[in-house]
Amino acid sequence: MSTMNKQSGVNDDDDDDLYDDDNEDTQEGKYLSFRIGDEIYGIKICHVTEIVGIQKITEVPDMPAYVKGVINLRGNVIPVVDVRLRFNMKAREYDDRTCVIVVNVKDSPIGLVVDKVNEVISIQPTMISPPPSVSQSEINRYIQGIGRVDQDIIILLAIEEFLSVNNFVLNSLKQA
Amino acid sequence: MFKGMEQEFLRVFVSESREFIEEVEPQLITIHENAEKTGQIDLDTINSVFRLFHSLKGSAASLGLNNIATLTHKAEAMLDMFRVGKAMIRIEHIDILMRALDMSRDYLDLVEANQSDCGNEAQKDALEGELDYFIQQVSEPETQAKAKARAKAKSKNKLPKLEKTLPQSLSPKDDDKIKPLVEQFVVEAIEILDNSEAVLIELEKATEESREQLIREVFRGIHSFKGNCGFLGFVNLESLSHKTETILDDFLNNGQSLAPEHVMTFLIIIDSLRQGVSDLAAGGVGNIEGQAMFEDLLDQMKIGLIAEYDDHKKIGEILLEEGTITDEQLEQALIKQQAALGEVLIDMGAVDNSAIDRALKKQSEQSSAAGKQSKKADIRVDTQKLDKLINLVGELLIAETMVTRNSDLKDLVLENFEKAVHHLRRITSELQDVAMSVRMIPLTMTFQKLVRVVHDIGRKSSKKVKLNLVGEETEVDKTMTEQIADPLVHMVRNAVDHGIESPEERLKLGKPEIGSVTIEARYEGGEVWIIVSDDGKGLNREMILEKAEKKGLLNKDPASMSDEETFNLIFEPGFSTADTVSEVSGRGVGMDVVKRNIENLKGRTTVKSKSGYGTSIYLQIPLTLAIIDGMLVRVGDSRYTIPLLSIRESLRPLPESITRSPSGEEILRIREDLISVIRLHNIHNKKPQFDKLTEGILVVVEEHGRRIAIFVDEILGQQQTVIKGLSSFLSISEGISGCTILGDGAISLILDIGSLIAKTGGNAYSHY
Repeated sequence: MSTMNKQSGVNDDDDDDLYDDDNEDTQEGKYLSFRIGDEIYGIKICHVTEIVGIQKITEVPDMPAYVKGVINLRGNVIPVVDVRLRFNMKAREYDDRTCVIVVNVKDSPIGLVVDKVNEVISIQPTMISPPPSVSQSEINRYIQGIGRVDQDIIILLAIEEFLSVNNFVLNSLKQA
Repeated sequence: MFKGMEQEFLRVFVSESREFIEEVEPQLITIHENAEKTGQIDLDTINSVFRLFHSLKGSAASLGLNNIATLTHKAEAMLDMFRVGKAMIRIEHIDILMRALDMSRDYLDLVEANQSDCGNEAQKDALEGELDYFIQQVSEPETQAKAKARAKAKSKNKLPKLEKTLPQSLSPKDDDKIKPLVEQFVVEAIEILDNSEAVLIELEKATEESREQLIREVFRGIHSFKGNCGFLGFVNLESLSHKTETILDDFLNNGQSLAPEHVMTFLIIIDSLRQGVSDLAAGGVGNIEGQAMFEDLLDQMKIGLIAEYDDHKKIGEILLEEGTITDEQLEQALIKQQAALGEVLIDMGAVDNSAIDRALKKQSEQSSAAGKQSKKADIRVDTQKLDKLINLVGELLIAETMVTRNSDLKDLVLENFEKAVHHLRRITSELQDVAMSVRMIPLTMTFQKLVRVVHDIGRKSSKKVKLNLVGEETEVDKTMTEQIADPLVHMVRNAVDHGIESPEERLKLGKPEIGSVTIEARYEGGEVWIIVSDDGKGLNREMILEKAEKKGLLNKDPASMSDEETFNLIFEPGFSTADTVSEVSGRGVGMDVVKRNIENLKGRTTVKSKSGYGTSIYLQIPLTLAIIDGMLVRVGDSRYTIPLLSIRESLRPLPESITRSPSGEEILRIREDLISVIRLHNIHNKKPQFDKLTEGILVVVEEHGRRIAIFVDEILGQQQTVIKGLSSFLSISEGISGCTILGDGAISLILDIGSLIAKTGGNAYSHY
């Protein structure tokens, strides 16, 4: 069944790719912004498949704390990662604002648990500066850049790096 | 439309030819083996190989694939020499034929990629040169030995001729093999005839330019039909289709177009061919009633055609010009010609009315029989569609549970509903079985490929090996045949190269000179077992341990390792007992591939070996990867699924049957066995309802003969479980093999018993 799932996954992605191609112009420079604590984060809209409310998560043993487990998304079982825990921030009780952003990375759907989803925003490339180089912390690798929209500062996630811990995830994705 | 057809033809040609080649390879080897044993060429087999080559050549030529055609022509010429007994087949001959097959296979790849077989000419020419050399060598004055062989073969030489007249002479032992071929032939023949008919009808409306192509298409169809008939020995059909083909060819060569009356005749011929095919389908030998009549019809057409061609005029016109007939007469004749064949025949006095009626009745009966036949036959379906179907069946099963176990129904007494549910469940489970069986194919092809492997390696390492295939007909999922093809090659290779001793050594040891490798497939519970065993020298424990230590693969004290653990080392990547890297093996990749592929299929590998007596490697693979029978258990508020096949028993332990070891480990005693207890809630960080073993349930599971007892709160019940793979993101999770969605939409993790046991070391206390 796993191979079959993969296949159907691939099909979905094919569709997405088509979608992306058609809408390349309109998707360029668009980000989905969400909130973790007081900060606003953004991920490229082309990675996002859908946003669902928080639901029952089934834990999976032997995983790092930030991998919360798996959820049932209309018959597809997808893993979810808590963005807070991934950034080593304090865990927070899930409430009715808590959302799961489903992203597609390397043909695998993965859910990101965030405090609250804001909106889709456009950020001009000229308004994006490189990530701060002051601290060479591991965490900075997950940041694609810092964007500015009006008064707001938006931390843009480099989603592929963000989902790879010492590259093991990416490696396992490649193997898949 | 034509372009698409062309591509379709090529595609079918490639896939059929590949099957041909796979069929030929083991037969060639059989020929050689028999020739060595008996000193005679097995005429039945060589004829069948010859036919395969011949039809490959024919199809290639008709599709304009000249490289394949010339190559197979040469090979065919060579085979012909053996067939007529001009020479004794020797191993060099087999080798070169094998190489010709390999090259054809390469060409088929080319055709698939580029729709043409251009390229590699130099290599092909070289090979053809070699073939020529052998052919010449044989044509030269024969040595005495050869003459003898010839005389011997000659005494049997009557056989192939006999075969031409008697299709049944395909020896009776081949019957089982021939039957599916005939079935397939019938399906394809009906397809070809239907297509030809459609094209002929289309001819009437076609423009002048497209006509030639259309005729060519009919020609190709009839040609391959003829080829297939010839290959299977259906003489009647072959001769009629051959005549048809010749006339079509004449039309093409003369650049003539088919007049409506010609089309008519061809349509009649096609109907008669169809009649022959339905006779075959009904178990006959392809008899066509009034065959001679139809052939006469064709001959007449041919005569007319030649006359027409000579003067580029129609007979009627010539006669008219010559004043032999009048306009009116010609008109009448033409009308007559267009009248139904039966009437013409009656007029000709060839048959009487009642005979025609009989024939017509028979024809209609047979065409309806043919219709029935083709319904039973197979169609080609995209595997993706099948996968989707199976996925949907999986979803259906989940949905069914969602409905029938809906929490809204709790505490309601619903007698009629229960009945309906029962009915529904029966249908869905049957649907599931059918959907699964669709993807199942027999292992025959996969196994047959190994004949060649054994032959080649045996030659290279100068060992004598006999390959026995058992249970080829075992059906498994298609993906499984793909996944185990490579492992089998590696295993067989190892068996021959490392396992079987050289003939001298074997004789010294008192073993038969010819080593044997057996590949067996059988169903065992919900699994397919594929066992590769040899009667060679067996695995050498000391040598394996020594090599493993050298390569740093040991993480345990060698003395404490069981034989099983030791033998499993051969599956480690990089492990090889061969001292030198040979052409055949020694790089230490092979067995690693075996293990990986089998693990992909959720299967297990087990090695059994006895020094001096041989080695058996067991591949134990679950029949389906999609759906298993599972036992649903509860720990705290989580529900887990345990594969039913692994469960031995479950019990609520008595206090006295539990022992605590000083290290805090809990051990359950059942009868004479001591079994370690695993607290699932500890591994998965859950809060259980019960903390005392005596309050919950212990589920005893077994794998590889090792047992553990899993402590759970409660057993919820047994159900069909549709396995959903865990995302690769979570692939490192041990002890979990996947998950399933429960009736209420919740996810239940499926426990991977094998790795759970490996984690705890299993029941080290067991007495067996």
